[in-house]
Amino acid sequence: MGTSGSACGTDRVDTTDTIRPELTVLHGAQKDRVLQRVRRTRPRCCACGGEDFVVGDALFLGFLFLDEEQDAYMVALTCTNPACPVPHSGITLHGSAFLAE
Amino acid sequence: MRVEHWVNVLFVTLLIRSGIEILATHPKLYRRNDSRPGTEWARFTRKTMPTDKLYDTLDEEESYSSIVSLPGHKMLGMGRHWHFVTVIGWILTGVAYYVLLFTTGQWHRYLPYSWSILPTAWNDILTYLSFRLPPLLPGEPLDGIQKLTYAAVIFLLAPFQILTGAAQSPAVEAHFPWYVRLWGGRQGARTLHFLGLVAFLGFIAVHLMMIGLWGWAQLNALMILGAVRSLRFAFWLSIALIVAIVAVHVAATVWSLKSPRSVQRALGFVINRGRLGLLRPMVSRQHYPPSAISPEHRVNGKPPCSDTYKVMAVHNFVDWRLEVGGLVENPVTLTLADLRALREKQTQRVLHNCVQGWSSIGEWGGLPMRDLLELVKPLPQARHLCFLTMQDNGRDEPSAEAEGQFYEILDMSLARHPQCLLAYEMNGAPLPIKHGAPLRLRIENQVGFKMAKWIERIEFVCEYSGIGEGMGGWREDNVYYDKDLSV
Repeated sequence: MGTSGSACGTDRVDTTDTIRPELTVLHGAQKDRVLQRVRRTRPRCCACGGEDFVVGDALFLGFLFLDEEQDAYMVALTCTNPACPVPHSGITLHGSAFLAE
Repeated sequence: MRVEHWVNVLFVTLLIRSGIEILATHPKLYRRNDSRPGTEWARFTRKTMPTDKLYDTLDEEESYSSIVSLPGHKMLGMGRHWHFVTVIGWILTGVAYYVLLFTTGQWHRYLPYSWSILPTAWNDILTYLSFRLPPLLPGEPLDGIQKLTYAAVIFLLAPFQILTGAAQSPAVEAHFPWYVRLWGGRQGARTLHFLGLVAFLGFIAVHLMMIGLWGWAQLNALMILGAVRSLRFAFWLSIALIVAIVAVHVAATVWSLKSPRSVQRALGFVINRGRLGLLRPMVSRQHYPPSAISPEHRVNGKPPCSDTYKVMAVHNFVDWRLEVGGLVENPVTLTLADLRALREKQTQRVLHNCVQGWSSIGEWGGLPMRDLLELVKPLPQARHLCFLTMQDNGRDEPSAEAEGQFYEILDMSLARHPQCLLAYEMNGAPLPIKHGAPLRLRIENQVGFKMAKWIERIEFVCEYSGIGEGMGGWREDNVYYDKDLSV
């Protein structure tokens, strides 16, 4: 999967575990930039067609995964539709697209 | 004893070549247990590893020529089979040799019992350095330095190699942690074993040179036939024996390269008998202090490059499920939170032994496998556990030289070991992705690859002949490793 791609996950479960060290917690402006990219590249949830997402943490893919570009991140997206069968998904972006101040 | 000399030549040369094959898989030597990249004191590779991309130790493996290694060409599984089957033969030969040595009185020839041999040996060295032959010891067939050298090889170097080899067995290290510390740790033992190899090579070179200097045909006549009757016959007989040994090496190499599965089955049959009887009962009793934890634990295997996995990871694995089924009364599907809630986590600080030879020490936290067994209640006919992972070697591990979903088979008896753990934590933090997140196996008296990472399903089975190629795991099936990995 190249950058600016997206992927869907499985069903909804509350997060109870400690946040893992590979994840980067995003702040407001960074999340806004991600949402802008989401609206441009994938405006609808691929499971339920919902249009609203909550942006979560980012995972740096570039170092860990062979198939990823050097600056690639996956950012967590959660569909806000309570009836969505697969609310968890992600979008792959270049770090420069959302991390920069 | 004359026959034993040539049997010994065969075994020692097989051990050397198969040992070099094992070294090739991680051609670096370290002083410390953590095998930290860049801290090696010796390296036999020109490969440089990337700093901007995760690499694992499979990427560091070298392919050596069959001339120096058995069988060569990155076939660690074959090298291990030859090394272990040969060491069994070598030890048995050595025991028989010791018995004969002491029952026939021949030990007087090799074992010095006067300190006066030291100055004599020193004078002999000086004489050799001046390109002359020193006198023999009175009434003996050897000069002083020769006698001293034979004594060192027979009574020190050979046992040293066996002892340092044993110190590299995960089962021995797990059951007797003090023993591996005796040798300066796992990497200390590996280094000493390598230096023993160099000593053997040095001995063989000088030994052959000495025989050449003192008279090849005459000494071979005495050694093979016990008397000098026909020098020509003795010469050609020695050449014929050497050719026969070379032929065995060529046959072993060709057999291993052309039909590795049959080598795996045939040699594995011999090796496993000894391993299961001797090493299987060794239960891990490791409790390294926190100060021993490696600052950087080496990695083997690369994370699954699937979108499904990445999405699970970025959501902190809340969507991950562990399915446990097969021959059990109570099949279950568990989340990470379920696993954590089953009981208070067990932690263990242990030495990780990679089949390639590197090691690291880490603290692992998770659910003891015994508790999972209690939960799912295996049926009486369940004898093995098959761990299915999210890793696809064709996609994720270009250095693996084969494809398909990674799986490993574990015997039920190992699953009941107190330090057999389903680990979801490492060094007090969530298990890192590169080390198998969200869940990996720890079984501390086996080598590392047996500890499946990125687990998604555990299947209880009565036999594994129908799984993959039926050899007991992905590596056993695809790269001909041995299944019982206590050494």
